[in-house]
Amino acid sequence: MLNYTTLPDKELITLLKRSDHLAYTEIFKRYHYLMIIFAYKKLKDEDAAKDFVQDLFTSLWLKREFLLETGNLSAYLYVSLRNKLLDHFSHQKVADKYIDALADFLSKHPTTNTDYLVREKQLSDYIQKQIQALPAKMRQVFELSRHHHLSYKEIAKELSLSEKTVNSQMVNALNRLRTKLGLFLWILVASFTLVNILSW
Amino acid sequence: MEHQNAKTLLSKYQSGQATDAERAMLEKWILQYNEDQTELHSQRIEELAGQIYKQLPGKKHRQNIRLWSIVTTAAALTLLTLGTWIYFGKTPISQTAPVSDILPGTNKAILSLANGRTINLKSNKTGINISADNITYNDGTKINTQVIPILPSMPLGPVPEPGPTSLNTITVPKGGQYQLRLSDGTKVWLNASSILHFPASFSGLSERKIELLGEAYFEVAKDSKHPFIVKTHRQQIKVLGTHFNLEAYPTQDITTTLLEGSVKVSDATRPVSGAIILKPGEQSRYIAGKLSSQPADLTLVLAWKKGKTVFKNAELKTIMTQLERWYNFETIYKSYPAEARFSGSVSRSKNISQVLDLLASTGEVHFKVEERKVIVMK
Repeated sequence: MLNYTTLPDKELITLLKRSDHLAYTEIFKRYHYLMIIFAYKKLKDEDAAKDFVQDLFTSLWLKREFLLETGNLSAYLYVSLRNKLLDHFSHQKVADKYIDALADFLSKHPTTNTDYLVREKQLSDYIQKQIQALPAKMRQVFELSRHHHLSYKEIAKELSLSEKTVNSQMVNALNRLRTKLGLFLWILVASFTLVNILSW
Repeated sequence: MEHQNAKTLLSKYQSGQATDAERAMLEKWILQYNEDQTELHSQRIEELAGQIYKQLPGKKHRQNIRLWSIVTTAAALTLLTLGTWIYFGKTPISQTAPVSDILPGTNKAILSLANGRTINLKSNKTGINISADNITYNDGTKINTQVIPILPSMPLGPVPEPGPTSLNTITVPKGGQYQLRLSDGTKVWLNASSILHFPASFSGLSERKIELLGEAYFEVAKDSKHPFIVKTHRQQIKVLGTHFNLEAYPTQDITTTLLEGSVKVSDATRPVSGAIILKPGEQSRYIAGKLSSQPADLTLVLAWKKGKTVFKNAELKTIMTQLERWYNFETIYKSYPAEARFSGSVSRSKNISQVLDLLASTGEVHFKVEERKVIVMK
């Protein structure tokens, strides 16, 4: 029996693409809290926040077949929700409510950087901050899955080793696993590792 | 001054005219906007999450169909004659459904473009028109199809490979319907719970090829040089110019019904050898790898497109499956009238309770509605 709570986001995406409803439920369990907070902060309305988050997760299921396995789930969810909110804010009927706040922001920030990397960094910093701000119990859900899928780069950074060393150590470990645990598990671990290699 | 800028910025974003820098500015703004807002209590968040969870799609149907002692054979064939609206004509139409009721579906669809942009199509419009260089609603309103740029590694959506032949997708959820006109002029009516993949333009392609999962009615624009091909998960249809209905839900047999012209239906894996050709008024069924044809009941097949739910001599399960898609609910069978067959016709604009009352008026079956669940009882 597969334990979904410890699966990294990327594995969940792979399973979701195969219409695995448990994977979908796990994604909801993992991200509902962050998404509700995000929507509520921006909308200041519980019901509206609920509707937006429901819409977000509904389209995640409907579009599951078209998701990219290499995508970053947290960024995807934040960007989707952010775009839904921006669409809503800019709608003529509601735009007036936000003009003051936006005008104030514009006066303080006359220009902005359009570089993709800068924009992605902004978002990923924001996401990190939000995860850190989660109540301990909710944060654990993340950490449980997170430390299973550090990329080589991240492991290297943590251990101050070169990526190459980590890589060869991983290969050794995989070889050991292969003999000990049989081909099936090896394929599972290897394919997951491959996803990590490809993603950076 | 800044006020005017803010106003312009928002309206440019709404109309899809915003530049990259302007989008970046709005993205940055919304991230910091209201960040110091007092947060919801975590208990309240979980309550909201519980409500959302109940409404999420794709939940497996519970296999708790129990066949109670079977309805007497005498009562087995139940006929409802409700072609007319005498019964419902008297009941005032209420805008809001009572607590234990489910409203009918609406115009609803999500358009995902090859460039990665997804658009929730508006419910106050009925359809969209596709052309090589733009997409509009069928009343002429422009749809913003520009990409909101984010790092290429970020979107989980389709890989951005813009070009006239890359595939767009329209997804109609449960409780939805939508129309579209493809770039060659072919008209498509999509029923609830359907997905259609299509290229932005057919120009330069020898065949007009699209893919459907779900149900749609097609009026294919005539073009003898470029055959129109509809692929489904197991079957494919080749036509030149014709009108037909295709029902290809993943859990059901595939039915193709021809109204006009001629179509060639074949197994997706053996497009040549296993093909059959349909004449107008005929219907083909793809059951367990085999295709067969028979005369069709056109009023039955086209009812959905005409805004009706029609069933003739149908088992309850068949009716419920159809209703589930349009009203977006889940059926729980506490009892099942195995011998009963129902016939009737109901407008798709009625609430679920009115449809269920109709079925219950036969005395064969009763229902209870709880949020998005319909419980079938004896």
